[in-house]
Amino acid sequence: MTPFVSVEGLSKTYTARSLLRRSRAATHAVRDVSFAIARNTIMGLAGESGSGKSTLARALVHLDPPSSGEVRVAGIPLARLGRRGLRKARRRMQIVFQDPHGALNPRLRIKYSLGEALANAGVPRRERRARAVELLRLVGLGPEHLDRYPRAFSGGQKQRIVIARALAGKPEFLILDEPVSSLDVSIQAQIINLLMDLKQRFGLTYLFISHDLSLVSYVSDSIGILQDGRLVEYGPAEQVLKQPRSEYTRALFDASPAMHRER
Amino acid sequence: MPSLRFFLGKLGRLIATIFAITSLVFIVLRVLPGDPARTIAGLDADEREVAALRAELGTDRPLGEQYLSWLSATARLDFGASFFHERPVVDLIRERIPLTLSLSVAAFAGALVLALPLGVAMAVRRWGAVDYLGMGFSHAAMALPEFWLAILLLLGFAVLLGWFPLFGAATPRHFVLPVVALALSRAAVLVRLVRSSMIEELDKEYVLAARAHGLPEPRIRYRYALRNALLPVITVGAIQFGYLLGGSIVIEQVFSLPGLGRLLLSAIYRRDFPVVQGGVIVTAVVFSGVNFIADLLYSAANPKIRMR
Amino acid sequence: MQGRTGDHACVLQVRDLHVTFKADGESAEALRGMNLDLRQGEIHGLVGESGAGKSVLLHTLLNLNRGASFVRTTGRVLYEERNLLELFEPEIRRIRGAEIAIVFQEPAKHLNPGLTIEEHIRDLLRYHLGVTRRPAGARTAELLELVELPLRVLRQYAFELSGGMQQRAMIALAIACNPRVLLADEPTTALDVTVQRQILELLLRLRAELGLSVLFVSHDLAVVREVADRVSVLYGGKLIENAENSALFDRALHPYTELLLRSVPSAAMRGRALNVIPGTVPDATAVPPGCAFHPRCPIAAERCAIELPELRAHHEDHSVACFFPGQLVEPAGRQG
Repeated sequence: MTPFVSVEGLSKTYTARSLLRRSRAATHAVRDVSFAIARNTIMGLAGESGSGKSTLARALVHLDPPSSGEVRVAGIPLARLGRRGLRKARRRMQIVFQDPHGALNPRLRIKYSLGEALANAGVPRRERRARAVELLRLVGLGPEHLDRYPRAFSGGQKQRIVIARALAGKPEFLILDEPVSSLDVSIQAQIINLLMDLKQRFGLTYLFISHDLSLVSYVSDSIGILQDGRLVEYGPAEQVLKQPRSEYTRALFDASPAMHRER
Repeated sequence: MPSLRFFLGKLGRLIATIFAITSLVFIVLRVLPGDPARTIAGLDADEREVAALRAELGTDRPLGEQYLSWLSATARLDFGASFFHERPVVDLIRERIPLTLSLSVAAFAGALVLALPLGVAMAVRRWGAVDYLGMGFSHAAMALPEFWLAILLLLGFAVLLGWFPLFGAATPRHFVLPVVALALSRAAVLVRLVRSSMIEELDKEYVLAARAHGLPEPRIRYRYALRNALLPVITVGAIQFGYLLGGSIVIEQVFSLPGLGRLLLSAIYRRDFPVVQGGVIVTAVVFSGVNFIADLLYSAANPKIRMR
Repeated sequence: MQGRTGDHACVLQVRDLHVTFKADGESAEALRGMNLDLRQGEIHGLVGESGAGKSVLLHTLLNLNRGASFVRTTGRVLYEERNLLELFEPEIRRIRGAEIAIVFQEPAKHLNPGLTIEEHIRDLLRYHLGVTRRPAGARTAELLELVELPLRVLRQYAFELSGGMQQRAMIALAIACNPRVLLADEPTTALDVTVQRQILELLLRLRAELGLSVLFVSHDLAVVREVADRVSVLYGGKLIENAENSALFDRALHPYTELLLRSVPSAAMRGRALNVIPGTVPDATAVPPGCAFHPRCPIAAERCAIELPELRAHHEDHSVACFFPGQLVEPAGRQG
């Protein structure tokens, strides 16, 4: 079976520019990363700060075009798409960022935040309200929330709204960049369950990025570990958890405090 | 201390700024439409007179050549001679500038002496009596134009009470009222800045940490918070000094002080262009110089910049 | 007096602590009758979600609450037979940082950007111990060695150091005056796992070497499980459960604790849905009457909405504030 998302030799380099001279050493934020995600599965991506997790996410959907390498989503190479085609393709893949507080415009009522996303997805104006209510239902909120401003919501509720917005264009692939890191433990569980539920219901595919190894271990079907922009570990979750190939992965798992010890 | 690279960078910027200012003055006066010779000679002068004046001023030569000679003259502080005083502009400026500078420096010092302790006191007891009084002062002094404040001071302390002389520059007592007038207006701005900057610092986590470490409150306020709160004050202070140079034009007029401001003002009335040019350039250079010093001070006080 | 101290020597005792703030004109009780014993030499984990009152408790222990929104504190914080809340400012100042020291979550923000690490340490030594320049030099060097930092760090500013080094510097400050009690406010939350591990090991070593008693506040149950000897759980401004580490993690008695433990994801939970506690933590302005947890509790009875359960010893060394302790049914297929 062909994978739904495939990434081949992806690199992203930043050249620091100063007025007088081009910096000789380009910074490799992501180097030669390859992986594939099967439809309706979750790939977990873990790594410490500065390992290139977010850069990889942005390069993957061509928010920052990669320096080299190829990304295919549903068999379509993103680099070959023009500006228009890319915009269309982006509806099928969405990024959900860590900070739900920054992700919503504080001056917009929820219905406008959702309405904007629905408009981008090409939903006709008269259908938007009904669709917005439907989106809120999907994430466990109700029509009474449409007229409120983001500040009226707790962190967990905001993250639900952000997820609802990401679902506006009926995407097939979600990149979840630390989706629960800023939330309390009990709220984290609610959001994770919601995400797992949505995945089953709509046959979604996830790239789940987190610094939390326990969380990545819990959600993932396959796991990748990034270190200094390189994918030092990649494989089916069972295998990575039981017999990690790289020394670094082992060190990470050893350092990571665990609630439920096994092995 | 700032690194050499930082210093050279800022120095380069200073030189570039001065170069830009002099070029701008040249463009305004020579390149834009209008013939200085015609203006100087007057509308009723005949064509021969104007041509002679053009030759004398050098405005009949090509622009590039004019620009180069303008630059080299400016570099030698040769701004030409005043039409009215019939003396070199540089001499006129040299005579007047000490008064204006000392007026500005004294007023700046006065503004700081008033604004720093007051702003800190206001920040420490937020919404207390001192804070309200300070805000009241700041509002009032910002609303009143400097010259109006100056006239009020003159009326009160010179005319009614007779404590200070009305005008002139004969003794230090002559400078008290102009300095106070200038200082109060600048202090009104600075005191708000000190207050808000200090409040911002006092709310930062490191202040809480210092308290949790059991350090004495005065130490926390002055050594910890104030030091960091002063950083924005340095930058804004330099701009305020620029306002002082501008403000002294009016104040010198009100108190009849023979400073650079008065020289400039009367030169503008008399269309005495060489004096205006010289005055503008010197003022701009002083202003840039003050900003340069402020940059150095800022970097000396801020390790993050210093290390770069 | 509530709360058993038993045979254990306590360095710090909190008794019926109430702290009130004002939020948007409403009065908010951040702590509503806290009781806590910090025993000599233990690492006492304090667990709770945001709004449970963890940080407020730490600030109150040092009597640091101030500002326009702060209203009042009642109750007692007993340290060496004195109530810290009744001390005058100069007296409490001699205790802050010298006898009870604190380490914060974000070292970058809690270190003064305008001072070097050495200047920070010097200030502490000077004001608490009256140590002058030369002996201070020897002590600073010793401190750096204790927290495993190179000497060059002394001349550096916080922004020049990595997160882990900043936290080590923070810890050096905290232990500079040989405190008896160390309050740790989420000291590793902002750090990467490998660095977190190093800092936790450092804290464990310092506890042993310096005989510190540590109050370790964290929202991270896994971290607390690894370092704490005893664990207390906070909910709605009150302590609802307190037990020895393994007792709490293996046989939690309070339904909130139990559900919280079951909601933590891990490899062992793969393939099973996480347990979810419905609703959200109560806001301090609107804490439900009776047991604060009752609206979210699956086994709540009528009584829970009316009566406030007190923290009582359920059995030896395990206290809980619940009318139905240990009665939450185990979900099917859960392994111990």
